[in-house]
Amino acid sequence: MGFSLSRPEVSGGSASQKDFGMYPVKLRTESVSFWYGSNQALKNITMAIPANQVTALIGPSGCGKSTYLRLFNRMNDLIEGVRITGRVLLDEQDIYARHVDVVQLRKRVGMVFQKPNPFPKSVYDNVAYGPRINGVRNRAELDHIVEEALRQAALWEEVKDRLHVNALELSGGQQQRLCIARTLAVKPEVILMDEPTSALDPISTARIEELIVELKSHYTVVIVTHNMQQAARISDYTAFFYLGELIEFGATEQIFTAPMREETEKYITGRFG
Amino acid sequence: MYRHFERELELLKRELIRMGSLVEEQIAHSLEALERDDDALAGRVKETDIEVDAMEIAIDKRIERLLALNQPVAVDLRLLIAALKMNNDLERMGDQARNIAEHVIQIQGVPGELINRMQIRQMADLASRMVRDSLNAFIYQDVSLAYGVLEQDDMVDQLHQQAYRIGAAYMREKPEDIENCLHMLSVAKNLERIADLATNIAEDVVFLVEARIIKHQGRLESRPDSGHGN
Repeated sequence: MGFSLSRPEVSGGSASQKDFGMYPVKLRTESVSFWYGSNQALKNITMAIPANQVTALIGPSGCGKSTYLRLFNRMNDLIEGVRITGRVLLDEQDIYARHVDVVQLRKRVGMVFQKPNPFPKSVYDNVAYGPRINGVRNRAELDHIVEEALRQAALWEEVKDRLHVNALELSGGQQQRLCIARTLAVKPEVILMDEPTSALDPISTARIEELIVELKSHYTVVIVTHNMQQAARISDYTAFFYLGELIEFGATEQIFTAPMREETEKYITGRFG
Repeated sequence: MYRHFERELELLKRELIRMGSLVEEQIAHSLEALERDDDALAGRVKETDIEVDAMEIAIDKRIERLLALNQPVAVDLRLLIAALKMNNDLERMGDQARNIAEHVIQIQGVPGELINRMQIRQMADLASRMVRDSLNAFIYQDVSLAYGVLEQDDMVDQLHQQAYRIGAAYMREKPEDIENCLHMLSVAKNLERIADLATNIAEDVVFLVEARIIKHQGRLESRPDSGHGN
């Protein structure tokens, strides 16, 4: 085939530690391996994720990217029979250390899922849910938090007169932005997103993408996406996973114009397998 | 879907090669017409140029469609960018061959002495070889062939400068032949431009294969505050 190029291999290929310029490292894994029972889902992943940037995790189904994402708020702990080795660090603190309070961790590291999953409560109560659990009782303060979170999630203008309707009455795109607002209301430092737009129409997707780019000035965003154009559009860094391994990590522009590894090139140009 | 895209890229590549062959033929015929004072052949070169122009438009449209419908990245994107530029360069080469043909029609007889003294045949052979090598570099994605084209361009530039000096001296020597000499100076310029355009294609091949931009390198690097790096 005339156009499948094999460009020179870059030795090592462990783009694990990067110079992120002005952005400090927010999240980091050191030689992390992860098993579901006897099935190894992640193989010795060493990688750093910069603060206030959007990092996209891409790769074919089963490559380990969602497992990797869920390491950072210990969502994988909820599954029986899992095992992890290596270290996962948030601001250089090991989040799998014995003393770590997982509830506190998940306050700092919020998550948005593939399908919008609002509670069957009012718009207001959805957003106020986290702050209330964290002890905020003052009505004015709650009002302020709810408005601020909804504004940040670019939903306020659409729902400000419908704060007490059931969240399930909103459109899919609005529900997803509500879930983002719910995550923002507890003022996390990191937002993990697992295919947040895969259930949405193109206009809602564009809104969420715009929002993600805006959010990075205040938050560190890590997003798993199957949509490579989306990764290219919104992320600053991209990591390509395959069969539980980190194949390549680099600036998104470099990954999508001149990837160093042949596997990455094949995947992003759709010539995989 | 992706197989389909690959097939489309293969078709695009074939069209560019076909256009390249046509332009090579135009260049060869324009020189042949000059050396034989064959106005009919020169006329055919001009007619072929219309065909080349039509191909340029068809290839542009194909590339636009491929970009819009496939959102290519990495090597595919570089291929389409390189193809877009090559398409333009080939069309301009065709224009240069057409210019030579127009001079042939206006030149009286065969200016054999000028052709010899100005080393027009040597220039034409070198320029034609550069065109062929740049097209082969593209077809086989052969970077060393592409770099060879860049080196040959320096030789063509030297020949062109010599031709200019020789032409100026010739006009002083034989003022009665000024008109033919002016035509031949233009032909030398046309050949030099063809070599430049082949160089562009060679640079595009390096970009395609190595993801590196090498054009204007010497000039940009010598700029004091240049942050130019690739």
